[in-house]
Amino acid sequence: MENYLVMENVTKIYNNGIIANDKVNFSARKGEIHAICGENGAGKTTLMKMLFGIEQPDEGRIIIKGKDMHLNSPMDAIKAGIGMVHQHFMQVPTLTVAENVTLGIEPTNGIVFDMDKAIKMTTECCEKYGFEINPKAHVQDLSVGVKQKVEIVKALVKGCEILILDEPTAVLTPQETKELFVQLKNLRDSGCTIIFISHKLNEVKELCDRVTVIKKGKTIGVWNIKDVTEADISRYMVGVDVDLDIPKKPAEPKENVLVVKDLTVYNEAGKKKVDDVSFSVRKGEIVGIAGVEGNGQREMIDAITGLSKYSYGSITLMGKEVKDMDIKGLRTNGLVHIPEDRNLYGCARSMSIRDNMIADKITDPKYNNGLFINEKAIKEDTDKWIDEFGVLCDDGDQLVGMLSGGNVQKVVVAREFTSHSELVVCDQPTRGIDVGAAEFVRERMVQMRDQGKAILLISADLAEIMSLSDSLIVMHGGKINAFFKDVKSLTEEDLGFYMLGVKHMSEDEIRGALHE
Amino acid sequence: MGVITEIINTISRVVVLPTFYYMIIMSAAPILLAALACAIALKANAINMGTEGIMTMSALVAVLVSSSVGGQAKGGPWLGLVAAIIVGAFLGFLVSVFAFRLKIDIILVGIAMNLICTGASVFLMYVLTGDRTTTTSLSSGTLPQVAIPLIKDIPIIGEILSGHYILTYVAYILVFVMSFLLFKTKLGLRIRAVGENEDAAESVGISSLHIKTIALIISGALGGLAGVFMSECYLAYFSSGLIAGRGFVGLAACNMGSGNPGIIALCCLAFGIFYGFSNFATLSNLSIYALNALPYAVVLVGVVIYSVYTRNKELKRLQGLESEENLEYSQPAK
Ligand SMILES: Nc1ncnc2c1ncn2[C@@H]1O[C@H](COP(=O)(O)OP(=O)(O)O)[C@@H](O)[C@H]1O
Ligand SMILES: [Mg+2]
Repeated sequence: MENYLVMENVTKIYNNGIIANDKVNFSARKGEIHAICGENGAGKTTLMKMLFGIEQPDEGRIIIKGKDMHLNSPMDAIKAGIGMVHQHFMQVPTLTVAENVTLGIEPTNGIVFDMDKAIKMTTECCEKYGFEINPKAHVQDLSVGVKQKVEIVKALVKGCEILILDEPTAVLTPQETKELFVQLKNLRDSGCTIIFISHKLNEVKELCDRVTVIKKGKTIGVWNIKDVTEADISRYMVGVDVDLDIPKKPAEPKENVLVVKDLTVYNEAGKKKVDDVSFSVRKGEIVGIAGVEGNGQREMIDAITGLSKYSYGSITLMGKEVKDMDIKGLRTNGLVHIPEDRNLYGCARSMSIRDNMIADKITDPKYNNGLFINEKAIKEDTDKWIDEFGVLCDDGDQLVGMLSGGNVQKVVVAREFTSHSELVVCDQPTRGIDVGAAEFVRERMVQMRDQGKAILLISADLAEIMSLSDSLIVMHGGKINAFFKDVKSLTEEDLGFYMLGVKHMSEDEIRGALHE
Repeated sequence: MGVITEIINTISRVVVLPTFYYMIIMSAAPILLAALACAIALKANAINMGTEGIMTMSALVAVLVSSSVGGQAKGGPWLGLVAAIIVGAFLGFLVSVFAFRLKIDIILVGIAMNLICTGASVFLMYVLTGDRTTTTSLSSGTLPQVAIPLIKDIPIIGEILSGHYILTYVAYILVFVMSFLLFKTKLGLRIRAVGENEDAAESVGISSLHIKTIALIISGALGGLAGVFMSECYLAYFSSGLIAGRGFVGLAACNMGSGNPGIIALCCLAFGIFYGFSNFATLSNLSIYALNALPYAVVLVGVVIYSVYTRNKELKRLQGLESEENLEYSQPAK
């Protein structure tokens, strides 16, 4: 069968220097569902953005039906018969389905938007491909599953022959996923080429005809789905070099640093997000918190780090209640925090590396005599830290916003780990940064532990949380669902069961999380 | 106590006068024009803070153009009107250039527009007329007042509704035009789409830059109309301080109506009541300064009430979303 779409030696380097795609080759045939697999950050979305004209390749060619294409905007891509369902929905919530579907190709009557015609176009397209959507409904009132269908219809109504779906099942329930697959197979059988991005391998296996694996911006290969097992794909995706065997002695925990007792947190809308949680973190241990996103970890960490208030229960840091402490108070009492969103909370992107590193220590008499700032001492120490933490930069005066993700995180880590600390809260400390930087951050965390700090680690990366944590708390539905005193014996599969709430531990076992 | 009795007395003296209602309708008109100017920009998420400045500049331009062609007798006010609309549209376009092409924060651009226009208008006035405060030395004239047939003969109602300046009627008609533009036309659909989710619009090939620029040009033109109202209807000359914050009051009304013309018109009429009162200071023993400050105080109170209201609404919406989320989570995860 002939290739309908070919992307040849495509390279994309973002402004911040990240090589997201490095001579990637990808091709798809007419009427196939072609999977692109790869870890988070492998460059899948980037490749598709170039196909959809949102980004332009620095090198390489895109060929459709034998013709060289120059896709400078989504409009060009739409004209070339490409449709894309983005990872984050591209919808206008207060508009109706029909308005959203026809946006960009609005039917008109003079200057007037022809609503009846729009509804008709939407209905016809839905009927043709077997989608059930009410064209008059407002998008904001729809469930996620239906919103996704609207996205697909949006692409189909423009007559697309290549449909890109970027992680479409990430937000769907199992039932919705099943329904989506039936519809995608119908679409394929009617001649549409579908590019399906996912890292859920069972789905790829079930739905797709071929699979291309991308790893760190490079094509690893393309296979007929019949010829590979899930384990094979997984091996191609991850390779063997991500070995999280972090050298680490057994922990020697001492007295409690952080004690959380019967903590209950309501969010702004008055809904209970953390429900009667008790645990403690001791000197010289790493306590991990695992859980599917949205099970109360966020709210709990915000309460502990002073970013939001809590309603019931108590949090004590070094024996002092933190309820009425401000952030400064928390920090003087020994809290340091690597926040999840490093660009928003972790650093000031428009300030220099030096300023960012010194920001929390500027009141220290060493750097500030009450009137003037001691530039020399600041320069000396920040240069030392840049070196020690391996921040890749021209010099300390470079703006943090110019650095790559991994180096931004190193700046944050350098600031926090050189601050006076008893408790170190690490919230997704390696999310989205390169392997080298991630490894470095992990090693420093173990080092901090060995120096006798208490470490609380939240991570969505299961391999990371299982290999770093000394003991592990699993949260589900705002409660602690499991506590593992020793993580070594725990399997990933078992952890999954507790995270999804399939299994529960007894109250007695969970109580072990609080050392008294 | 005395003050309260006096207030009640003033109110009872004023509300029986048909001219009071006439004044409400008239005072609300320039605010309404300003609010509509803000509305179309707000809907495109290109907040036009510069309406006050655009009004000031176009009010002056109208007077200058009108007097330079010979004033009332030569149809000067009409030419002034056209010139002011063009200048307003151009200033709106300038806002878009600075905000979207040169990427300066749009709020700052608006503030700069206000400062520059206020300063430049006084400077221009001084250079051209030798007077720093008003253009009374020029004879620029006013736009015509319109008597509506039939209605003008109805007692009381005729007095209230008929005989307004033509721009007053235009202002109220524009409420419907703007509703139509925003909610029925293709351009309106695109404006709302860009305003709410720029990425979504871009992803279907709509240029958000293009749409926002159009919205700001229309916004500027409406600001121009509002300015003309002040210098060729409300008064027959330009003076420094003529606009007196009406652009900002319009901005407040626009936000209270979330950019929806119908609600905006109601807010403007409500503000108009208090502007109306300040015209009857002579009937009252209350301080004229207090009466003049009244509309602004009311706007302030209105904005506070409005923001508390929207906050509560937003909370309710969040709660709604939360319960939806629960439904999804409660699906068996396996
Ligand atoms: N707009 C951008 N600017 C700079 N870097 C980016 C941008 N978008 C993505 N990246 C980086 O490019 C790499 C690939 O990202 P992406 O294509 O989104 O991966 P995937 O979709 O496979 O998870 C990541 O390291 C990411 O941080
Ligand atoms: Mg992606």
